[in-house]
Amino acid sequence: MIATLCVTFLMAPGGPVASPWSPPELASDARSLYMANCASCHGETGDGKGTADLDRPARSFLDGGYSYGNTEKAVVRSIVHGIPGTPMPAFGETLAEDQIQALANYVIALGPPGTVVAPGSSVLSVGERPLVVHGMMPALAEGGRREPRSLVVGFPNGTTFQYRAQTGELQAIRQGDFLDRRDWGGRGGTELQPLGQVTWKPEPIEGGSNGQFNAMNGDTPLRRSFKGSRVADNQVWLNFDLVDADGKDVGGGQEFITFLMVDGVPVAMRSCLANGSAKGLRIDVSGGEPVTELTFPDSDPAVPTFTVTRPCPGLFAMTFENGTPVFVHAAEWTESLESAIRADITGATRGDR
Amino acid sequence: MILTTLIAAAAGCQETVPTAVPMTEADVYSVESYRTPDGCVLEVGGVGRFSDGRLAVSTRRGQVWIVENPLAENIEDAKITLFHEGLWEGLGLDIKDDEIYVIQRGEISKLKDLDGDGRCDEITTIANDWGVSGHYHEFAFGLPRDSQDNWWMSLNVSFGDPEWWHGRSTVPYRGWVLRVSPDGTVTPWAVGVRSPNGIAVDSKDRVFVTDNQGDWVASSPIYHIHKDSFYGQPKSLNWTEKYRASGKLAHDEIPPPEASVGREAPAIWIPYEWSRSTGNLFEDRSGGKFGVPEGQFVVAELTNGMILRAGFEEVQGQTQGWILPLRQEIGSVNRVFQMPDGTVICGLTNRGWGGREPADGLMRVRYTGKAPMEIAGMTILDSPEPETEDGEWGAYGFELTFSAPVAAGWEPSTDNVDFTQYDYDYWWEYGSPERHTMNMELEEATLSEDRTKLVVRSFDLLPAMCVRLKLSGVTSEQGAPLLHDTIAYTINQLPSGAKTNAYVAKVVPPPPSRGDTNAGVLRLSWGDPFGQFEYEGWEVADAKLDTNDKTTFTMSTGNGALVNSGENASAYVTRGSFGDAHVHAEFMLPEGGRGRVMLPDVGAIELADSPAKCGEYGGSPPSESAYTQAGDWQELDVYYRVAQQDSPAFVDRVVLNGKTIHEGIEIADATGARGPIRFEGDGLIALRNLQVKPLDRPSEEGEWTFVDASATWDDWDLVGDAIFELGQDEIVGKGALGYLWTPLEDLENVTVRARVQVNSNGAGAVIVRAHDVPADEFQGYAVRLNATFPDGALTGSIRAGELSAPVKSELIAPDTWVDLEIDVTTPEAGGETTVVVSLNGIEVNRTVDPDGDHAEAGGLAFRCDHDGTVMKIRNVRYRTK
Repeated sequence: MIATLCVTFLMAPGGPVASPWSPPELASDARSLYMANCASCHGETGDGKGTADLDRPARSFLDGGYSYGNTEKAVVRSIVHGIPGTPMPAFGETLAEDQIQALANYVIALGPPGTVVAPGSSVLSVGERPLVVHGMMPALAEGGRREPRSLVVGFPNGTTFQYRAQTGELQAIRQGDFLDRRDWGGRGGTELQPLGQVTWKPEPIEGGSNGQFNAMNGDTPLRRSFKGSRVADNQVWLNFDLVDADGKDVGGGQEFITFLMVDGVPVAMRSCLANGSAKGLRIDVSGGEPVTELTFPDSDPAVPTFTVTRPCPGLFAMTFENGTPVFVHAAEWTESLESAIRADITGATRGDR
Repeated sequence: MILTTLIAAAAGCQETVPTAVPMTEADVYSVESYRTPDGCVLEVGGVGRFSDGRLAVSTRRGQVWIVENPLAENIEDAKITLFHEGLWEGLGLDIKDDEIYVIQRGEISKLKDLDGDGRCDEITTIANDWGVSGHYHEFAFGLPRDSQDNWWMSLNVSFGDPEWWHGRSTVPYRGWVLRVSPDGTVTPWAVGVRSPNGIAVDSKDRVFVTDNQGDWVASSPIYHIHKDSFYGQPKSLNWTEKYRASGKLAHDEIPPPEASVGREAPAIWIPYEWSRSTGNLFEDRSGGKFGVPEGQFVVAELTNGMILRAGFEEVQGQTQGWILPLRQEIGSVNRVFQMPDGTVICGLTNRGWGGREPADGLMRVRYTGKAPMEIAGMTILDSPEPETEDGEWGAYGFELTFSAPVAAGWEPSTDNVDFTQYDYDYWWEYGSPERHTMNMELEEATLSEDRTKLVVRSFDLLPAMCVRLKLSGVTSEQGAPLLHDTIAYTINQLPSGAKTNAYVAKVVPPPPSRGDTNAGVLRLSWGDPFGQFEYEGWEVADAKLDTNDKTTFTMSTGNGALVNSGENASAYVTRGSFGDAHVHAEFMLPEGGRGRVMLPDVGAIELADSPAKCGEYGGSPPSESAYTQAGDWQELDVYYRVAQQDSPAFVDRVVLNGKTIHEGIEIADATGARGPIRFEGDGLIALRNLQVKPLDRPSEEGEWTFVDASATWDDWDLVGDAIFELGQDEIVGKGALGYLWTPLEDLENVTVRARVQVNSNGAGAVIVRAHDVPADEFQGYAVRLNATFPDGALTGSIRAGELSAPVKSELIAPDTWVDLEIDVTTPEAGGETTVVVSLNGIEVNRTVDPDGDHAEAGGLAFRCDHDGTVMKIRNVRYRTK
C-alpha cells in the first residue's frame, strides 16, 4: 500500500501530490519518520542543512541527485546499510522494512520529478548476498589499460570491490549501484560499466600498491593466480594459487572479505590466508608506519595481539600475532572499531566461516 | 544399412505410425518453444543434461539457467529458473558427474550450489591458460568431453590486421583448438581456425570443429581436428613453436608457407546458401529416435535458422563427407543438444551476428515418426577402370541412398540429375565465391533394382572440388516428395589413384599481397553491406539460365548474383564519384540480353549477348570476340582516365574474359568530370563481384599542404576540458569535451586528410570550416570518430548543427588507424554545400547541406567528446580547390 502511494507521488507531474484515495496519515507517517531519523542531518525540508555538526554536509534531497543511485532500491540500500566512510548510519536494524520503504519514497519524492530512472535491462544489481562478476573493466585512470580479466565483487550494501584476476590485486572500491553489463548489447565482449563511484583506490608504493596482500616465499614475491570464489551472506572468499617466477605452483590461499558493523556503519574488512609446499611462505600487507600498537593479554589465545599501521587515508593494516594479515577500510581508528575487530577476531583470522 | 536404420526407426514408433504422407519438414519434425521467465533472455551458448533429466543452459549474458522437466509432454510444464549470473559469456557447457562446467571468455569454471538452495555459491577455476586481450571478437567456445574426460575448446582470433575485419592473434592461443585435461592442463592442439563456434567429439573420439566464413575461410567449413595441424587462418601461427623460435610473425608472410604445404583441408565445406554462420554439431546416438540414422551428424545454423544433417567417410586417409538441410524455420540455432529419447534441444541466439527469427530462446525439435522421403546418405565410388598410363582416370562417382524406394516412373537422366562441381579461392578476402563451377557430363546414372540407391558417375569428377547434386521429380511410392533435393559433397581425395596435394580452397595465383589491400577498392561481392550503391528492384539470389526459356533466368535462394529482376528496376549506381579507375565486373546475360557499364567522362561499354557486339565502345566493335554465350558469367575489366588540364581522357584498356578488346582510346570531348559508375540492363542482367579501384595520379599528391604541428604548436589553441598533447609523430587527445584548434583559417572548398584513431567507447571529431565555438555548440562540419560508443553516430558520421548524417555500422574498430578524408564543396558562395567522407579511400558518407547554413568559411579543429576518450591524429594535410 505504501509503495503504491509513493508510486503515485512519483508519477504525478509537477511534484508530490497525494492521491485522493490514499490515507493521508501514511504520508505524515513517512514525514514523522523522516523528522525523527533524518532531519537532524538532512534538514527539515531535505535541503541538507540539518542541525547536527558533521565533518561534511549531508545530502540535499531537493536537488534530486544521490551519491549512490537514485533508484528506490538504491535509496533503500543506503538507508538499510548506511554509506561506508561517511556519517550516514545504517538503519537496517532500527527501522522496520515498511518504514524504510516509506522513508525511501519520501526522500525521493522530495526531489524534482522525473529523477527516478528505471534500471536498464542490462543493469545487474546485487541481491541479498554478494555477487561475483567476471568481465572486462574500463581503465581506471585516464590513458590506462582496460582490464580484460576483472573480478567485480558486489555486496548488498552497495560496496563493490574490483580485482585484477591474474594478480589478485585490489584495484578499486566503489559505492553505489553495481554494474551495467554493456556487453549484453551488440556482439558482446565489451567493457562492463561500473555504476558506483570510486571511494578508495590503492596508491602506488615501492614494488606495488598499498592495500594488497603480498604473498612471499622468503624474500621472493609470489604471484596470485585466481582459482575461484565462494559467496555466503555478507561474505566472499577469493581463492588463489601461489605461483613463483618460473610459473611453478607453490601453494594456495584465500582472501576473505566481510563487513563489520561499527556504530551502525558497515566497515569493510579483508583478511588473507595461505598454505603451501614452499619454504617460508607468508603473506604481508603493504606498508606504512604504525599509528598505534595494541596488545592483548597473552594468556587468552582467542584474543591475539596485533599491530596497526595506516598505509594511506581510509585504510588500516594489521597483522595478528599468528601472522594473519587484515585490512580495514575505515575513515579513522576508533574505540568502537577496535572493539568490533576484537569481537570478530576469531572469524577474521580463521577466514573459513 | 543406413536405409534399414531409417525405416526401422519409423517402424519402431508404435504410437505414431505414419498415417499421412509427410509433404513438408513440419510433418516430420515438430518445433516447440520453451516458455522463459519474465525478464529472461536466453541467448544460448551451451546446453547440458543432469542424470535426473534436468538441463543446464549457459548464455552469452553469462547466466546459467536450469530447465526442469524439459521433456514434459506439454512443454508449458517445463520450468526455467536462474542458477547463476555474473559469468563473462558462456558459449559452452558440460555436465560431468552432475556438476556444471561452463567455458567463459577467460576460464573454464565449475559451478556448485553448496547449500542446496538452487543457486550457485562457489565457482572454481578449472583452466585459464590462454590470452584475452580485450577485443570483442575473442570468443571462447566449448565444451564437449572425450572418453578420457578431456574437454575440448576453441578460441576466436580478434580483428584488425591489417583491416578491421582481418584476423589477428595478439595473445596466445587465439585461433587455436585446445584440449583441457581433467586436472585443467591446457594443451594447444591445432592451429588456424578463425571463428570456431562449434565443437564436438564423436563416439570414436574424433574432434570436429565448425568455422565461420571470413578472411582465409571461403565458406563455412567443418574440420576434423588432428594434433598440430594447420587449418588455414594464418595469424594464429604466431603461437606455434616454429614461429616463436624464429621471432617471425605470421602476418609478415601472407600467405605463409603452411598455406600451400601442410594445410589440413576441411572435411566438409557447407555451401554458403545453407550456412553463413554455423553453430555446433553432434553425432546422433539415439538409435534413430530422431529420424536420423545413428552416426550421422546434426549441425546448427544461425543465419538461415535451421539444422542440417551431415555424414563423414575416410577416403585415402582423409576425412570428407556430405551435408544437406534437415529442418528449417527453427530460429537462429547456435547450439544443438540431443536427449536420450532423440529430442533435439536447440539453443538460439543471434545478437550482433544476425540470423533468422526467433533471435533467442530454447526450442525442442522432435521427430513425429512420419518417415520422410530423403536422401539418407551419400558415399563416393571408386572408378571401375584404373588410372590409364597417360594419366586419364575413370569415371568416379557417388552412390546415394534413399530412405524409401523411389516411385515407379522416375528414371535418372540429364534432365533430372543436376551434377556440378566447384571450388573456392583461399585468400585474405572475406569469404570466396564458388569458383570453376562446371556442369558434369553424366557417364552413368542408374537406380538400383529395389529403387533405393542411385549411382551417378562422371569422367569430369576431380579431387579437391566440391560437388552439388540436385535431383528433380523424385517421390516415394506413396507420393511423398523428396524433402531436400540437393546434397553437397566435399571431395578431398578420390578413392583411388595418386593422392592429390591440391585443396578445395586454392591459393590464388598470384596471391594478393598485403601492400595491395582493399584500401581504395570498392567491392561488392554478395549484396551491399556498406551501402555503397543506389538501386531499386535488384535482388541477391542464385541465377542461371532457364533451360525452358533461355531469355530469362531461374532464380533460387543464394548469394551468387545481383539481378535486376524487380519491376522497373533501376540501374545499379555507385554512391561515390570516381575519377580515374579500374572497374572489374562479372555479368551474365540471358539470350538477347543487353546492358552497359557507364563510366564518368569516357562513356559506355556496351554489354550484349553477342560475341560481335559485346564490349562495343564508342561505336567500335571489340577487336576480337571474347564473349562466350548466354548464361555464362563474363569477366570485364576496364582501365580508364578522366580528362585533366594537360591530358585528355583515355580508355587505356578494356579486357573481356582475359582478352584485350580495346586499347589506348583517347576521348576528345571529355570534360574531366568525376562521377558515379552505373551498371545498366535493358532487360535482365546478372552482376557479381563488382570492384572499383580508384587510380590516383601521383601528381595530385604534390598539391597537398602538410600541417606541421611541431613547427606551429604554439599557435594551436585548446578550448574546453580535453588535453591534447604533441608527441613524436602524433597528437594525442584525451577527453572530456574539448577542442584543439589548428592555426588554419578561411578554409572553404577544401579536402582534409588525416590518419586518426579512437579508443573503445571514446569519441571525437574532426571539424572542417570550424568557427567560434562555445563549449557545447559549434559551427562547421564535424566528422565523427567513434568505434563503439553507443550513441548511434559512428566513425564517418557527419554533423553540422541540425544537419545529421550518421553512420551506424562499425566500419573501423577501436584503436585502429584509419585514413580519413573530408571533402567540403560549396560551388556558389553561401549556397548548397556537399560534404563527402571517405575512410581508407572508400566513400562512406555524402550529405548535402541544402541552404549552406553551415557553409561559412572556417578553420580546422579536433574535438574530444567525453571523459575517457583517447584519440590520436597523424599526418594532417589539406588541399584547397
